[in-house]
Amino acid sequence: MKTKATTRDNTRTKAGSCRGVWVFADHRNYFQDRVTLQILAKGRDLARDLETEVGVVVLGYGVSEFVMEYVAHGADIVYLIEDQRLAKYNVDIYTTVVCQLVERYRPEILLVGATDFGREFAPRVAKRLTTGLSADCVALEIDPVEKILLQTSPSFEGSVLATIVNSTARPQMATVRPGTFKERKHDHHRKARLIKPQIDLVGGTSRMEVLKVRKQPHRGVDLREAPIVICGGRGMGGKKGFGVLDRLGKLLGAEVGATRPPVSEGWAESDRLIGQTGRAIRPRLLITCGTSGAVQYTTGIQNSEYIIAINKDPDAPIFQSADFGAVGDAHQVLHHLIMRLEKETHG
Amino acid sequence: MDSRFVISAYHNYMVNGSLLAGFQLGEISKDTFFFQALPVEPDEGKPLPLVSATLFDPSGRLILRLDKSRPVNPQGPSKLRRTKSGFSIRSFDGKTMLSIRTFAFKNCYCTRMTGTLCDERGRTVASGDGHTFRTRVDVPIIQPPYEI
Repeated sequence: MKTKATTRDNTRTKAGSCRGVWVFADHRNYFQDRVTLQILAKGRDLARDLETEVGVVVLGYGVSEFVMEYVAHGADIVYLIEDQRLAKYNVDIYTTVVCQLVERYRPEILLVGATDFGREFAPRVAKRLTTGLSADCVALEIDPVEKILLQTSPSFEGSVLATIVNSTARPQMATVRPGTFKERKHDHHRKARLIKPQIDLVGGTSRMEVLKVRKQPHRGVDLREAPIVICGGRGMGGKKGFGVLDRLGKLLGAEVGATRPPVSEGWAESDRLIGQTGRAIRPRLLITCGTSGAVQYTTGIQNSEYIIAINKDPDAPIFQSADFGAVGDAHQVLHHLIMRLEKETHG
Repeated sequence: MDSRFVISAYHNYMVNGSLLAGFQLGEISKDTFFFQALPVEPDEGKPLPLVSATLFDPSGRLILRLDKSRPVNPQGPSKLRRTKSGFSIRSFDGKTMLSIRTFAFKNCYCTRMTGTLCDERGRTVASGDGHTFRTRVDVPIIQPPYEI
């Protein structure tokens, strides 16, 4: 289902005077979290369709390394504000600074990673600029006729994918979930323009003070980076079924993920959740077992290169997303697959 | 007013707190001061600073002429000493007058400078503390032309 929603026409910034696709740089865990690079890649596609440039907004202190990385990954213009007061992420000050930048340079599109910070920061920016915001987008395209941003986002608890447009207010804002888009290759031949705007940071007072930042230790593996993923759904029946998936995972060098029902039942850990409220994955191979194919799940696997689906229901929607389908009991199919792989491995 | 520079994804010089792919101070001359930090491209081998310059000491005496980080004749009384990450310039009495070092990040490089640059009248044109190179306010920074 596609829905078109139009924001209220009470904006200060009108469409005609705006130009450029902007990406807000979230560099807190740069080398682990690639969402900014993924959005930069999509931003380049959008900018090509709009015949404009991609700008990246970098706020912080001592961020030279990240700035160069953003250039290598596709930024044409870097808007950099380095100041000790920006060293720690503070949503009040960051909002004030980004709003000043938007009002000065008038980008047509502003994209933000749907990280914990982005989810807090982007709505504030949108509110202050009186523009719209589409949250957790899974697809972004430019309308070939109207040249406006088509923002596809799961709606109504993920039961439909709504395409949202913001026909009048600018910038058109969207948050994008990590793993939704694929980053471009690092190109160290690239050059960009670096703009260091003079911004009033004194006016950016905050009601909060960040006393200390502590990084949460990384737990387990990152499904988003795994080349092979095996995902189990309710059809795996219980923890024992996930034990079978773990066994297959060891044989294939794959990571094991889960849909919402097994996580809710406690068959799998919450950091294994794939889908709208979990990880969006981009493996080269996904084997999805006992999953029905609900849209909440398929939005998280849509960028997989090759999908093998196993389900006993031949009418299960998952087969519409699959490149190869096996109709049958997942336990039996997996049992045969494991036996065959073990035989080949151990002789 | 906003500052505008050209930045490279591979290698930059840190000048006035900004990353610059390359820059020049003064007009290119054999007899009067100039300092030209050339862009370093990925295809050029090691990411070492590329500097052409005519350099003077605080008394206005010529100390060294450089062409792409090599001394050229008449080169002056000072010595250029190469290091793994750049080079330093020492005066005839062994004092380090300028040190230029390239630092490696994960995928890119940044060159920082320590020391003082003087013109032929002995006036300080720029000085670096190892973090950033500060240029005198009235000295324009010329950037290489790029097609971006």
